[in-house]
Order: sequence, then structure tokens, then C-alpha cells
Amino acid sequence: MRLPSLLRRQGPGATVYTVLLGLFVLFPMVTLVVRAAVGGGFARLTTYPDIGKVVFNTVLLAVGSLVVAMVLGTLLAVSVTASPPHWQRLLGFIPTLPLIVPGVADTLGWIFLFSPRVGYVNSWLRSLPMFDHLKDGPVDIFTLPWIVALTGFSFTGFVYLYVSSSLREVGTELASAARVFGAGPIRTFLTVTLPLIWPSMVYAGGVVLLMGLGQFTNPLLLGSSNGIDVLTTVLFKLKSTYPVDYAFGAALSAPLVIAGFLVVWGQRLSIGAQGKYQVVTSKANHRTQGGSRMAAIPVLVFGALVVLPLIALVLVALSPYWSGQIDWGALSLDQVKSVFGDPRVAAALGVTVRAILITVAIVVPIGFVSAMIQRGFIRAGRGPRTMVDLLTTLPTAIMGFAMLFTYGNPPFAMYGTVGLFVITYVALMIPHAMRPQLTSMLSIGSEFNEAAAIAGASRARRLFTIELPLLRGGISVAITMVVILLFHEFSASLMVATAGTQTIGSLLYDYFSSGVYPQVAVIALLMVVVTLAGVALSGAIGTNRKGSKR
Amino acid sequence: MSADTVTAEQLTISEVTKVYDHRSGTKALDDVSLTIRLGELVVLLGPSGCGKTTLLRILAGLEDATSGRLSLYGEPVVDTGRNLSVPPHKRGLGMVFQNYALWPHMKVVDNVAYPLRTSGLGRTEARERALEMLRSVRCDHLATRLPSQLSGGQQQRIALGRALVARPGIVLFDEPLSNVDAQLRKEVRTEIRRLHAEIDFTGIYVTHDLQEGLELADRIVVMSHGRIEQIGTPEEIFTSPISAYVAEFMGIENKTGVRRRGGVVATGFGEIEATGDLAGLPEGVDHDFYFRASQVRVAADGDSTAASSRSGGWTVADMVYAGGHSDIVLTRGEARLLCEGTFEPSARLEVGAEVDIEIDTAAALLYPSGGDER
Repeated sequence: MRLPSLLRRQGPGATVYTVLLGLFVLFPMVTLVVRAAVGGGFARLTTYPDIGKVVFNTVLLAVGSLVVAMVLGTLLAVSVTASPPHWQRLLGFIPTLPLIVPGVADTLGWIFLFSPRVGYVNSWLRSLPMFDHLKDGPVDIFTLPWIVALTGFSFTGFVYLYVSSSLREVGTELASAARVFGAGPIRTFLTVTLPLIWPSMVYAGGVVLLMGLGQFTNPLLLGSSNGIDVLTTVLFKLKSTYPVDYAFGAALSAPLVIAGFLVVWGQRLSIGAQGKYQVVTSKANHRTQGGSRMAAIPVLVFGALVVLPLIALVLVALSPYWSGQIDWGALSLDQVKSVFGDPRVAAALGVTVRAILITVAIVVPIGFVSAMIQRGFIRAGRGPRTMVDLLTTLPTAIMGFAMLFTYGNPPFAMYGTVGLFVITYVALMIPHAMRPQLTSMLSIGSEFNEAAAIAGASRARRLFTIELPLLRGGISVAITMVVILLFHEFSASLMVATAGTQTIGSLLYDYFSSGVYPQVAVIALLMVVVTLAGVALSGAIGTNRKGSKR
Repeated sequence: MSADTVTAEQLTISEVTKVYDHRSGTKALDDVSLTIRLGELVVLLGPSGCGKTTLLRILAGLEDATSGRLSLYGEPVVDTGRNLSVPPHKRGLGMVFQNYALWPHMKVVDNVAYPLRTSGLGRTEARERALEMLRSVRCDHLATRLPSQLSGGQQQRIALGRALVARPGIVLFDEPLSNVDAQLRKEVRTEIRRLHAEIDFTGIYVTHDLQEGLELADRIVVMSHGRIEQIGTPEEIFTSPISAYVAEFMGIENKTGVRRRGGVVATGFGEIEATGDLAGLPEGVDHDFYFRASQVRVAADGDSTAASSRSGGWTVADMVYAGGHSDIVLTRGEARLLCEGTFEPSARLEVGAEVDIEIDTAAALLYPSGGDER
């Protein structure tokens, strides 16, 4: 056997990493499948009443939200590109807002706006002559079309990000060339731009389809009252009954796990030969002159639709109760004070903060090693990479369920402990902790490390004098990402929470179920504030990295 | 420094092979052996994909050899048969990278002091020696700047200083001038020659630029498809390329297929007299004949010599001013030749003029046809 070079030595890091990843990812998934097969879970699938309807709802939600998100996301990306150049920076930020606003807060905001009886907008609409004969409505947000529309709306940001970055990469030169050779704007878009951004659309579509299949928050909050179930909400109901039928739950999860594999496989197939899409761009990528102000309209409307639910949240949080009418005189901070004085909230905050801190301490180093492996700085087999790929395809709710029965039960018996949250969070956050660090590594290249090795620095010395200082921006962003994502984590937290050990996300659902809406609004707003602060912080880190240019 | 005054072997490469893709079995390096002596500046020259950078990275320890042996300063550092591979930080080398690779988070002086610090030198002393090195590359005024605040040329000098500061016996250069403009290239080339003379290191320099190789090298190693094609002084390589491949890489402008029948040689542009080296061609065997533009001249009547062959019926297709001379493009049917002429008014030709030419055959470059099909 040859000795591998120092830069690629399979060291203890890679081994520890592989074992940890196995514990966090492979072990729960294997237990899940085994449980479904051995415990007769698959057989019970056929006898579950309405299983056909549940599957139909799940697929409809996924496909419907995919269509909504693809159309909206592409429209917004094209709109931003077509708007006046000096507006593009600001306009480009608006479509990403749904990614920043915690999903659960957004959905609650929509409920406060469009709940049939006491939604602010519904109440207002009924004051118009056209609808004044109605007792409730005219909009009923607790129906499948609305669940699909809102879910699609919340995914728009993902599609936008992929498509717009692809549009930027393609640049305007190739489209200009098509125009010079006689193609009109639409022909240019269809024959040049669209084929070039196709791979990123396929990729975005795959991601959104998976998110739609595993979607939990919207069907839970919007569908429960009308008995609209998808696979994940059935799983949640299962988890809330005693004794938990793990075998059946595992069987319910299996289709989503398989769908994840299929989507990743499908993405690879349909993108096909990558070389076909490699764009050779010149250094000067001239922007289109002028641009149209009209193009900005869809973006501005979209922005308003993101902000509107947040205004509803603020109104409910400041009201003594939620009635559909705004009593401006009764608005006060009383609910906010009562929430912060609530011992359950204090306890949940305590659990959340502890779980987040421990998770960060574990997952950021795992993410670092992950990124080193992806970058090729640490040699490791295919196993770890496949596991990270798998992680990105698994729906959060399924992950929570798998963790609950793997680590909640003997021999681990972590049910009701902070540890169970930590182990779940670590698994969920590995990709998020890895990505910013990987991006950082890719942007700095391998020559710095090699130059240090030639200069006589050992592996450890290179880690501390070259790699960590160069990557500190990426590491800080990774920490911030993990903190904000976990602070408003909802789906998995709900799966592993117990009455005695709640996080802020699971407590929010408790309050929602018992109908104390102002408190719900305050907690949701708290999530929004912490998230925005985190995003601002990571933005500041991003712009403050001195001397990182080459 | 001439090659015969130095004998101590600084670096020995023995039968090094590198295979990246074991399934296809394509060899990036194929059984390469080379010895480099103390104080030499050796240029590895070849087009991209010829294996020169792979060889350099194996010398540095940044890449593993699939098989073979390598010793530095007389000590083995790679021996695949014995599972020996000394890591890069223990090889005691200096290296200048293609993209400089200056650490962006360290000031210039800290970048240069780094190799000294890793060798155990104290902070103050390392700093002093780094400043001294910076003076030597005329960048001491930049000591407290960050790399991002420097121009490309300044970064290049700092990278050079960092590679040399610890006085390594061997310094590797990985196409260090490929990212700088022509003016700066010339400047840095001169700088490298000056430092090589002053500091006296053994240098291995990778480039695909012929001019750079000719100007810098004590010896040039021309590589092709993972193998060494020719080793020699710049003059040897330039004047006597060993194969058609090297001849083409040397930029020899004219090529034609030839076959001798008695005193006449059939060429791609008709028959010419078998003079000079053409007369020594084996009868009836196809060869390729390479000749430079400077070996062709427009002939006046009675101009022939014993070592030149005349060919008539050429048309002047174009004349291009090329500095000290002019390049004349000549055509005859399908055939095309480049000929060096002058812009002197007396010798001035008109485009479209019919001319005869004389081809110098005294030192003809002749290679058997099809022997170098790659």
C-alpha cells in the first residue's frame, strides 16, 4: 500500500467523523427501516383508514407547491434582472425574505389575516358591500388550496436564489449575442437563457419537491382543524398517542425517505452532461442598460405579501385577545410582559439555549471536517459523503421521529432529556454547519495550505496558523446559521418534545393548540427578532472579513 | 553557471510514474528519470498536460508518485517500494506558486517570516531576516501591508522572497509568471536570474513558455505526454531538437514531407535539388523536413550555394512587419512557407510578385515520417 501524502492522510479526524455521522444519520435510518419491516408496519399501512387520501394530499401539496414556487421564483428572478440596475441590489433581497422569516411565524401571520371568522382581512372584506352577507370568510385559509399556495409561497425564496444566481452566472453577454443575431426578447429567453439556467431550475425543483413532500408546519397548523392530513401530520398524531406505534410510523416515513433518494437520482439524471452547461464568460459582464421600473412591481408585491403577516403578528401580540377587529386603544405590551414572566416560556428558553449551545459545540467541528472531506483536504471513503447527501434529503419531521424512537427508547432512553434535542439537532444541522465552511474553503483554494506545507508547517500548525484564521468568516457564519435555524426549529422539536421538556418551538404549538393566540404571536415574533439579528450579524461578519481578497 | 562545473547531485528522480485514473491507466508521468546538480536552474518545458506540473508537485510532496524513487540532497524522500513518502513540510524546499498563494490574513512580513518560524526561529529574529529578504526583493516598504493591498508584481516578489528566505537548497517554481503581463514577466525573469546568482540555490522551474525557458534555464527538460522528450542546454534544444515534437514546440515555422530519389528530393512544393543534409537522406524513405523562416531567403539569380536548394514559382502573399525584419508569406499552389526578409527599400517586395527561394539545407532538421505520431 502506498503512503498517502500528508495533505490527504486518512487521519483520526476522518475516522471519528465517520463514526459520529453513522450514529447521527445511518443508525436511526436503519432502525427506522428495520422497525417498519419487522414490526409489521408496512402491513398496517394498507389498513389505515384514509391512507389513500393522506398520500393524495401529500403528493398534491408537494407538486402544487412546487409549481407555485417555480413560477413565482423564476418570475421574481427575471423581474429583478429586468429592473433598473441601481434598484437591483435592494430588489434582489426582497424575494429571499421568506427564507429569513421563520416558517411557523409566517404561517401564524397568515392565519391571523385569513382565518375564516376572525382573520383581519376576512373581517375587513365582510365590511365591504360585496361580502356583507357572509358570516365568515370569504377566504378559508384552512383548506388544501391555501395550504398549497402558502407552502409554495414560502418555498419561492429557494427557487429565486438558485435561478437568480444562475442568471447572474450566465450573464448578459450570451443573451446579447442572441439579440444581435436577430432573436427577440422572448425567443432569447426560451432558446438561450432558459436552457442555460435549466440545471439550476432542475436542482431547485428537486429541493422544493422534497421540502413539499416532507412539509409539516403548514399542514399541521392549517389542516388540522379540517382533518386535512399529510404523511408527516399522521406521524405526529401517532407520536402523540400512547403507546407509540413506531413500526407504523416507520412505514409511513419510508415513502418519503425513498422519495428523497429518487429526487436526488432524478436531478443527477436530468442535468446530465454538465459540460453542456458550462458557461464561458468574458471578464466584462455588461449589465443591460436602463431596465424597466415596471419589472419591479411583482417583486414589490411579493415583498408586501411577506411583510403583511408580520404586521398581523405584531397586532395580535399587542392585543389582549385576537378578535379580528383592531382596537387601537387596547394595544399594549402586557402580553409581551406576561410571556416573559411565564415560567414555561423561561423553561423552554432555557432548554432551547442549552440545546443550541451544545449542538453548536458538536456540529460546527463536524461541519468543518465534513467540508474538509468534501474539499478533498481530508481523505475519506464514499460513506461520509453519501451520508451527508442523505441528510439533505430527509424531511425534518421524519428525522425527528427516527431520533425519537432510536434514542428516546432503551437502551439510550433519552426521552424527555435535552440530549435528545441535541442529537436530533446535530443530525439536522450537519449540512448547514458544513456549507458556509465549505464555501469559505472553496473560495480560498488549496494553495495557501500547500504553501504552508512547503514552508515547513506541520499538519497541526497549518490548521491553527492558516486554515482556521482563513476560515473564521465561514465558521462564524456556520455558528450563526445553526443558532438561528435551531432557535425557530419547529418540526423535529415537536417530534422529540415531551410535556416536561419543551423548546420554544414546541411550546409555541402547545399555546397554539390551547388557543392563547397573543402569547403565540409574541413567541413567534421573538423567533423573528432573533433570526433577523442573527442574519444581520452574519451579514456583518461577511462584510468585515479583512484581507480575504486575493 | 555551466553544467560541467557542478557535479554534486541535489535531486535524483528515478523511474517515477504517476497514474491518476487507474481504470483508464493513463499515465500523467511515465517512467521519468532525471538528475539535477547543485546550483543548476532547470526548466521543465512543455505544453499543458505534458506532466511537468505533476512532476513538480511530486517533488514538493503535494502529490504521491504511483511508483518510483526520489532523493533530495542525497537523502531518499520517496520510495514507493519501501512505502517511503516524506511529507512536504519535512523536505526543506522553497516554492513559488502560480497564484502566489500569499496568506491573505498575514502581513507581508509575516508571510515571509513564516518558513523561518516553522523552522523554529524566534519571532524577532525571523522578522529581521524576513525584512532583510524583503530588502533583497526591493519590497521592504511593503512589510506591514496585507497581500490584498499589493499589485500582482509586488505579490510575485513577496512570493519569491518567501520561497528563498529560509535559504532552501532547492526552490520550485510552478509557472510563476503565467498570470503577469509581458513587461512584468521580463522584470521578474531578470530578478530570478539575479537572485539565483546571488543566493545560489538549485531551481526547478515549470513553464509552457518557450521564451521564458530559453532565457532562464541552465538546462531545459522538454516533456511530452508524461515522458522526457529531450534534455539539453537552451542552445542545444533550440538548434538541434531531437524530434519533430520538440521541433514544433520550438516554434519552427516551416515543415514539409520529403523523399529522396537520387539527386532530387520530392517535397510538398515540388522537387528540389538534394543539397546539404538532404543529400544524406536514405533513398525512398519518407521524412519530415523542418526549417526556420530564417533558413529561407528570396533568391537572386546565381545565388545558389552547395548547401542550399532552390525552388521556383512562389508568390508573395503577404508581408508583415515583425520588428527588425519582415515576415514574408509565400504560396505555391496549396503550399505555404514563411520566409524572413528585410524592409530595406532595395530588397522590398510587392505582394503578388513571383519569386524564387533558396532553402538552407546545411543543418537540416529531418525526422522519419510517422515516427512521432501523437
